[in-house]
Amino acid sequence: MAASDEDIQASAKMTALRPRSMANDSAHYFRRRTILQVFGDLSGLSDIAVCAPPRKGERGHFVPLLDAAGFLDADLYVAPYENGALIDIHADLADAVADRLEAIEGVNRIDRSAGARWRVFGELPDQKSAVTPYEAIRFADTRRRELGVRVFRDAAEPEGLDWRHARKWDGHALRLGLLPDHRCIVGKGIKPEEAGYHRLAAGPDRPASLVLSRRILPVRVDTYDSVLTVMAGAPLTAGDTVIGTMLDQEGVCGIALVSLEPWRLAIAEGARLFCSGLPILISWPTWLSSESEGRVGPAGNLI
Amino acid sequence: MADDSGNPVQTRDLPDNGQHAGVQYPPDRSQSGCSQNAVSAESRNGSPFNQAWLNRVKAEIGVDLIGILAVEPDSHPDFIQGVKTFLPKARAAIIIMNELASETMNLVMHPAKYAGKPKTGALLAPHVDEIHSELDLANMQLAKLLKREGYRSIALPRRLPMRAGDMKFPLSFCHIAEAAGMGTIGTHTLIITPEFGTRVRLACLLTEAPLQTTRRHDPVDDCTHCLDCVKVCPIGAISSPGPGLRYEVDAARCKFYRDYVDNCGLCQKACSFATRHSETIGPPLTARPDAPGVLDHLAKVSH
Repeated sequence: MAASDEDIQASAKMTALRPRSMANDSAHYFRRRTILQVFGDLSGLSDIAVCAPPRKGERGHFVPLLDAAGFLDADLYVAPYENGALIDIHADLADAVADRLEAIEGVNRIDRSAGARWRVFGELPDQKSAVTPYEAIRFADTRRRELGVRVFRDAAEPEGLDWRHARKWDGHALRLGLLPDHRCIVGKGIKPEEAGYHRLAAGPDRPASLVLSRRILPVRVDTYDSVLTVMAGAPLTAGDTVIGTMLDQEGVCGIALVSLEPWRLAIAEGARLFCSGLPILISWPTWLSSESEGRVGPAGNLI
Repeated sequence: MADDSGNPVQTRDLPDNGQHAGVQYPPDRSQSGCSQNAVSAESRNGSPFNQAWLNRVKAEIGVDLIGILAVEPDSHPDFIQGVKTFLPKARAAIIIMNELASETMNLVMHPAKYAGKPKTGALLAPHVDEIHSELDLANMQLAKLLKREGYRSIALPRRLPMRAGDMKFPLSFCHIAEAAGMGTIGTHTLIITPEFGTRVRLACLLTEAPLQTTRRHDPVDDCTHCLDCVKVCPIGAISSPGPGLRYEVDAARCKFYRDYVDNCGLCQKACSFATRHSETIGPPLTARPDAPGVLDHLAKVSH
């Protein structure tokens, strides 16, 4: 039986699309993230989040959710869409967060199956994704410019052969000292300031000054072999003193909640730092430099 | 140049194969109120190699930056082995750096942009040669100075003989510089200094003088992890082999391209802009009274 014109056109369209999508697409595909579609007014979210969600017509952005005690809970990326918004969230936290969102005044309905119609991607600054006729929503990650952009793409789009694994994106976030997602900190009593999120809040909500006793900082495993040890949840030690907890780790890059004063004392005593039996280095990311005293030249303190 | 006040920090040993070593940084002083730097027993006993000595040497040989990494039993095996290859009883490696002119660096462009224009980027190669000549001269002066004080010293050439069978040098000057607290090795595997960013050239000297490792107060990781260098590389030589792994440069590919186009320098230029060390744009330059002036150089030449 001869193919109809529509079939031929559809086939030609798919043939034209597939190579472009496969060849030019190097975005990171987050299989573990899902999408919730919210119908209604989401402005009430600002009462339980660090910053207000975007309004209709605005670009999407990062919205860290707070629990009842004011500590960090789930991480959401909210993008306005139709008569509501699309919310990108870790699949493990989706149901609990959907229950909380349904309680917000103005929210009419939440479609928990929207994840089947969308794929979530992250593009680092050196990457690009193919331009296709399928629907896509792009917005910058408001935590840091160096984290690139978030993209919600239509799940009907052909899959790309060059899509990268999400853990590679995670490794970049860990190097920057930012949490790839909040699954590892839910229920651990971490303040937004300790994760560096105070800059997301605008106006009177932004604290004037910070006096913190602990901070989420990037950690590097100081070894020259493959790091097969899983360190997440393990304590950081300096001798017998525990100076922090590893929150997440991929390869030699990790992120930890570090108690600043014990860390300073450990360094003053010349103690080496370890986690799960491997030596580690804690550093201070560039984007936090404005909160430190500033740069000091090298060799300035030769003894 | 900084004073002697600051945080005691722990230096780390040297890595190999382009891996990060690093200086362990203390928490922000403004938050934790760090104490004065610890003074070593040797310094208290009146060792001649103190901060004043370093400042005097720096001015005498006319270099922009200087740092020291002591050879210790727990230093990285590759560092110890590399040092002993050249000077078996060496107790320290001294790194000196001179600034590359921002004006010359900014003439470098992507090859496609030279169409119909003078290839101004070719000026970089002779400029680098000039800086290397200056550094070689300063290195020789330093070696003579240390010999006069009774310590065997060797000024290493800028191109060390490679290890048999691979494109690796027995000593990595960048890694020594990082462990000496002079900066951070960035994604492009070049050293990024707080003063000049990547716009520096290095030389190394090994000596039997009992020098102490220079330490750094600044807790900031100098690499912003913006990936501009990865993006700008015309041949895609910079890449991350996998999640949580360090970025690597394909040395053969990079060298082939540099030989082909008379020096490339695009990653250095991109990094200068990303880390705000490019002086060609922005406000007028400010005088640096601590840097050796033109008259000092002329006086030295005339003698």
